[in-house]
Amino acid sequence: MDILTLLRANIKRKKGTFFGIVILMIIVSMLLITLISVKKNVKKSIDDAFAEADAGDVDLNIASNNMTPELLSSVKNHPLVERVETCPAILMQKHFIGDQEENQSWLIVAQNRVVKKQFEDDFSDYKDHVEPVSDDGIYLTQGIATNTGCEVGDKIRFITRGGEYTFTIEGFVVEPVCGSSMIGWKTVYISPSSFERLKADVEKVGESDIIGNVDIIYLYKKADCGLSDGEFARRINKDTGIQNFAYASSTKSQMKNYTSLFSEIICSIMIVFAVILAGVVVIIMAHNISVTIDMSYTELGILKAQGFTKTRIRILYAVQYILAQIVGAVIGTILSIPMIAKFGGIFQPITAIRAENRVDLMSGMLILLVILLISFLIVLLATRKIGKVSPVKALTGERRDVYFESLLTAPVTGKGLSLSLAYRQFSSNKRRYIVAILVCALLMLFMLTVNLMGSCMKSKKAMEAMGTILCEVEVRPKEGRFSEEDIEKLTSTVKENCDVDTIYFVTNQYVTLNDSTLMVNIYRDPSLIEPRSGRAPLYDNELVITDIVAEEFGLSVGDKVEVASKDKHSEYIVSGIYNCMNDTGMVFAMGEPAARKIGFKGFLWFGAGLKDPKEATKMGEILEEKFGDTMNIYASENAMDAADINSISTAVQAMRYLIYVFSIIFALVVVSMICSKIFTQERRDLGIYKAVGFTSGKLRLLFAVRFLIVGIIGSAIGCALSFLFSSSALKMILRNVGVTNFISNYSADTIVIPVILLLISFFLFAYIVSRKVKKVEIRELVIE
Amino acid sequence: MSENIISAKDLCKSFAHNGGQVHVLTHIDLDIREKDFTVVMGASGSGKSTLLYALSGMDKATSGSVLFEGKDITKMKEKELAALRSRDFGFVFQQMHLVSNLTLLENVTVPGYLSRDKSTSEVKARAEELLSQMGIADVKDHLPSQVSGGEQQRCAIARSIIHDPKILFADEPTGALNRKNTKEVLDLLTDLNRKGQSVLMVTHDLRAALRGSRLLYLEDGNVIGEMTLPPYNKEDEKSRETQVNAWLSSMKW
Repeated sequence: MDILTLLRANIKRKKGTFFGIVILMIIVSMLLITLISVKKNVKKSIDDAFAEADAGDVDLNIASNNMTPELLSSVKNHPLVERVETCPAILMQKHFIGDQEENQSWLIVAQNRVVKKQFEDDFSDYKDHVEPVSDDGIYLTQGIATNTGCEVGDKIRFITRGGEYTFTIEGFVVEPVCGSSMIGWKTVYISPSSFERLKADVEKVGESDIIGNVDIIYLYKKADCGLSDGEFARRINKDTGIQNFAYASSTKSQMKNYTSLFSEIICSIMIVFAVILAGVVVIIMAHNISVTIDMSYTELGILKAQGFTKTRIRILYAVQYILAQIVGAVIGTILSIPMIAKFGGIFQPITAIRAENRVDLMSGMLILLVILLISFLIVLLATRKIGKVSPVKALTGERRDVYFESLLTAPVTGKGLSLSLAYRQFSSNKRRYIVAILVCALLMLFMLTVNLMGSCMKSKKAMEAMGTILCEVEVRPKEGRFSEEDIEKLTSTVKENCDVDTIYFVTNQYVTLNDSTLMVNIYRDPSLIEPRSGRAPLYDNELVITDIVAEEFGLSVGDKVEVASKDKHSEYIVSGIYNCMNDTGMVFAMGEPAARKIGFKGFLWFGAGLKDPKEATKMGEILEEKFGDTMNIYASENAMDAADINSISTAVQAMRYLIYVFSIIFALVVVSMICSKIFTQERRDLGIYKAVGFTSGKLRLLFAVRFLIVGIIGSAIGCALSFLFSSSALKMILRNVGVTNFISNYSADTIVIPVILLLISFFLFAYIVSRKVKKVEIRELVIE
Repeated sequence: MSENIISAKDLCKSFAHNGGQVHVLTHIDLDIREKDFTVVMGASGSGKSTLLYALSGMDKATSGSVLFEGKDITKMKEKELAALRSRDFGFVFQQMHLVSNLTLLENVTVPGYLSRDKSTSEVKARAEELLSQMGIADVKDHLPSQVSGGEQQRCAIARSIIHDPKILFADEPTGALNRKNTKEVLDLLTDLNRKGQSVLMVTHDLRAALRGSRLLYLEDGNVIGEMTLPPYNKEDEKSRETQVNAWLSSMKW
């Protein structure tokens, strides 16, 4: 009972501290439960959609003329295969959305059993049932809308040699396997009769590289086969060679991984941020307790003199702080309910699947319980010094004065009085500010890390170092592939008209490497590949692989690998390790002579990096005039425009702003709590300063400048930590998207914005919180 | 006769207490004259310190006015009062109230910098001169916690006059000091007054009161008696003590 009375009194007297901890815990618990729930909901929605669509464990897209009955039967009869489903499709690598030409690979399929869910036109929900698509209509996936901005009612045109087909987008449906905006291949649906019409036309006029009849083969492994999807695919190919004939092949786990990749990365980063914030709460609590014990020395002495044991007092402290945390956790949990719906929605344009809004209370509570337990232990540790409180010393006031002396002391000068005085106040009692510095450093580290992630997506140099080819001028043939004549003419035209940095002729195709389907990038000039180790694949028996392929297949430089495509195969030596983000790093590269050994057909893409990017427009116009009839020209002064990373950039930006907002709120609460304690500790000094002529405004400025100093030191430490750890942390996180060589692109924009933001926050919040200075009366110095 | 430096008219000060009002100062009319060493005496709770704080603008009067150079300081805003304290008023507290993380020299220079009447180097030179006069030049770089109470109070006096105030207010400046330190501090104040510094001091210490040239006696918030003495001279301290004692007896001290 006595403890309850004291508890009530303490909370009433120290409302600021109590509410500060409550607010911090609200943020931490809300973030943690929201992120854990969203991560789980997105994963579950993907799993459910795959299960509902009865997606195969391995999917293969094989040109119909290569899909012989013998090949199919060899797969069907394989002892590890449960069943095989096939679906006819038309491969269309060129289409128009409105007037915009797109070169994404689409598989056009007749609306079939796989289509189980249809979005409302604004993607806000699913319709009750999937409506049959009309003969003039087409269903797309949300990933296409994300990448192109198309909407219901827009026209889609396909041009075949037999004529032009126009469809109207009638809706968007869920196709879990490759519906995500993260995946290049897309499946679209038209009515069965339109499909037959188009298919007959494609058959009649013959197939080209950009149009063709394809069979989608779904392989289902036996439940007891005990192999992962990847192992299963490799075994099947080893025994049947089916993947060698595939345009593309993917496993279920691979596609689930691609679909959930981005939400996983963002949620994981944010969860780390929330855990760091939880750590900050615990640190602040420990600091607060330590300061409170010093400030309440007399009261604690009185309590001891009245018979309170140190254990009872420590329990009182523990209950007081843990209670604040529990209140915060409960409110945070409640607030997480609307947040889950809001935050979960951010990923829908990327996954193209609606996630549930379920609150994962179990995991959330478990984590919160761990935080509370750690907090309890920290409180017990921090309250150890209560044992040293002597009732006699406390009651007689026989306590040693605080002794101020510091190596960092600088003289107080007339010029810049506010700054030098604020610095003295800081340097003479640095311990008071250690927590604020630590918090500032951690917030800065996180803000910089997220900024680096965002800025690398805007930097040509960084993107190139991570393995992306970025050019100001790009050319693709409208039909077929570049001929030798095209290559020579394009090269000479570009070289004659401007200073060229690099010229690329590249193509990619799916082949098998040691029985696994992988993308291979084929370079006309393989010396343009800059391996991280080893050397470029200059000879016809060499190739380079990424770190991720090296790890996945246990390969290193000098190893031999078997590469096959259809009925051709050859042995190659790994000459180097290079960086490439295609297919999340599951890719390798070789030169043209090496590719000829496995059926190289020609180049599909030409890129020119210009020495002066401003010449891009002029160059584009020249190429358009000369080659516009047979080729598509794309030119931009900013080569980054070509990088299709808009949805990812948007999500990273959203995460960046979210971290900024929470960092500022945290800074506010931390500054407020520390400032209040300092205010109480320095009340007498404030009275003295007022007595000698300082105004409240000037004293508040001193507070603000002091926290500005704290902010500067914290920011500097945060920047140093970022220089040391951000790149490796991001490398570790982004390895999942194929980035093994993350280049830190520190720029004024990356550093200055978070630094200014935190400094302004610390300065401004300290100025606002110190408004209590106005209430300090000089009379308080009088002893009657 | 010298001119008035501060004039209080109908000055009242009340405090809320237990739901009612306690009237500490009741309708005081008082003039403090320039260059005087005015001492306010009275029993404990008579309102001496309250009067000092009201006259110096450190505390707001409930009603009435306090005129300094023709301006009513009770009507002044915080900024004007702050300017007054940094330019025209000096204040010495009973507890020295030095800023604990500033050295003695810095405790003196900071208010000097604030007044902006002198350059930084002039303020520093003047502060060192004052500390030297106070006999604490050798500990000028010490922190308050490293010096004695007497040294702290001398530093507090140096701080209060660094900006050459027009009047120096002292609230029981020897209240926290031992006999030796008390004498040293009183000698300093006497010396300052001799050089033309107006001083208004509150005390209940007879030895301190002897230094005054004008003594006021306060009872129940009113000035009920006044005594004028010639400037302090050590040689006639005995006769001065007799006179003051007799006056205090008449005030029922």
